[in-house]
Amino acid sequence: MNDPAAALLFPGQGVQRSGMGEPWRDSPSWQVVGEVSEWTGEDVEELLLRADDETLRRTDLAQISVFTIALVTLESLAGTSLIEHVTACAGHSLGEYAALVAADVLTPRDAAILVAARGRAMRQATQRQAGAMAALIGAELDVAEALTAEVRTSGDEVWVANINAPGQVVVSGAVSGVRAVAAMAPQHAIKAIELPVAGAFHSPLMSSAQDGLQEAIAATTFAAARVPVVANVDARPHVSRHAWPSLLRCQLTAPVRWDQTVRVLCDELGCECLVELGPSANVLPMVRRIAPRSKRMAITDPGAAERASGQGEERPTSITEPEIAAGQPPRSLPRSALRLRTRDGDSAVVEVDIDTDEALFDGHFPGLRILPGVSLIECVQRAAALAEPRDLAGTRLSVIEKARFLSPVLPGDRVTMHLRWNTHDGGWRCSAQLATSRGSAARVRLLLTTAEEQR
Amino acid sequence: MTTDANQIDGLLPHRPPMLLLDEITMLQDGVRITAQRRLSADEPWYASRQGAAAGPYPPVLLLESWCQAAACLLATCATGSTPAELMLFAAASGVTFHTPAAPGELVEHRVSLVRLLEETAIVDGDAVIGGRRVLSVEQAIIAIRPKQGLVAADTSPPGVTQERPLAAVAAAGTAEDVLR
Repeated sequence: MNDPAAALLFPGQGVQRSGMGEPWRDSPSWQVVGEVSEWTGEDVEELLLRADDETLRRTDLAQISVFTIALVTLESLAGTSLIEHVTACAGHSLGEYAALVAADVLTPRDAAILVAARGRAMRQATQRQAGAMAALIGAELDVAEALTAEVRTSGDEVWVANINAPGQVVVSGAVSGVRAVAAMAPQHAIKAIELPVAGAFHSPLMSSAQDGLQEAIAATTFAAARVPVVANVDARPHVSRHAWPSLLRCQLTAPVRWDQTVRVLCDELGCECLVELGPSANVLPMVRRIAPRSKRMAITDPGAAERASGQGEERPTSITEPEIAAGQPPRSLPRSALRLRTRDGDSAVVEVDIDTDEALFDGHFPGLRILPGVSLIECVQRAAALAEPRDLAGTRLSVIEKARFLSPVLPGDRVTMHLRWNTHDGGWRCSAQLATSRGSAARVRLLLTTAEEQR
Repeated sequence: MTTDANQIDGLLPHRPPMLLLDEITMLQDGVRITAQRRLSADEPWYASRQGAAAGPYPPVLLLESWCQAAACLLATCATGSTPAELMLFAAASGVTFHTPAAPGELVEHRVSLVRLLEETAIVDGDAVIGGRRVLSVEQAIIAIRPKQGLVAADTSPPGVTQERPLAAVAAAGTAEDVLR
């Protein structure tokens, strides 16, 4: 088998959502959850299964939750061929700790204790001084640097905190400083989105958290890496165990150089396939912007883990929709999962195999099983959320501007959807052409609006 | 007039869990219909959610329920479908989901017949829950098609069926005009 060199990627805080442990609760690797609870003194099972979104916004709880999901996912892949082909790792912010576990620099136990200490220290820092962060969509680094510098000269505190991808920079600082940058953004054709975090992470305002973390770092043993880990702070691959105490300390106040990190993985370390381990595809949309030709895969549930490790029927070459989980709205086709085939700018190809065991076929119709046309509309909405998770995952179906159903879709059919989307009147307009092996099945145009615009 | 579920069984080919209509509360033959549906978390869409909050009713199924009310209206027309025919949702435009609906709520669908062509009907209307509008449909096209033709289409080799609209609206011309 000629498998490409793979890199494991781990998302950071912000990816958490209520019920994100659901897909894993019956898998053998779920036992990690009990272990993390023991090591950290937090009821992590409660956090992963029952805590609401409000609870999960708390810095320390969010971090231990996201970290634990990464460990569970990693555990599920232990001993598989995918892990054998891993040649490097990296994690976004908090995700760096899971990357260090994947590379054997830290034991899961030591990493969990560090993550708990880091979360507590960061939370205390935010209680001492409130802060804010905002994503600048459409901003390149030089413009973001110029905007923050301009605000700083007027005496306010704000810095570049994440350089995520082309056209996506995050700033961090005092609430007033971040708002000042956000106010200037539209003049530069930049959209500023405030992030739901409690503090000015990755900025000098986090320096008070460094002492708390330092204590825990001093009590930790670091080992030499099995494969290089590319660090957030300097975007360089590290194998030596000596570098990490200072890199992790600096990471609290320094920008995350994610754009450069991904370039080093792809160009310097030769990673052809980038695999994200987390509750949803979170850093992969950034990777797509940085390295559009890379092969990308998200492991969000045990099914994806099984397929990725070669135990399933085929190795995935695409991003699969997460299994239905507690946090997602109910749908007419709960069994048929969508797969993102290709994505290019504001268009994508998504396919779905209509599961023959979908409950609705029992009554639509007896003796003549035909997929209801309305379910194709649902597929288009789900396809949009899969193709553009950053902007479209939280949206609701607001208007069917137009829909035409051209030929019947039957159980077992593979439906291929060609999607295109653009912003429209505060929401998104998404057009799609759907086909089966027999030809065109439907044409659909939808308006999707974000949850806040619901009345 | 009131029609219970047994009579709806006779008007629609749909069966549980896709029979999404409980009762016809008003029917003016060939003109308009009002029909009700009690949304329920016992429907299979909620089955795999393992005790999580029920969540909003899938909007597309609310539309399906509305279309079934429309089909009941057509079934009572003189040219309504026979057992050898199926009524299929062929096209729609301007369908707005105003506010989410939830399991437990009682939806009232109101459908008017705009135009009846040979094998195609144009309908419009809305759906309300306790006076709150949850759905409005500027235009929906329901096609009346022989079951036989559908099965034939299903088994033809790729490319043969091409883009033959279910509603045969291209041939109808007038329907195409309304659709734009």
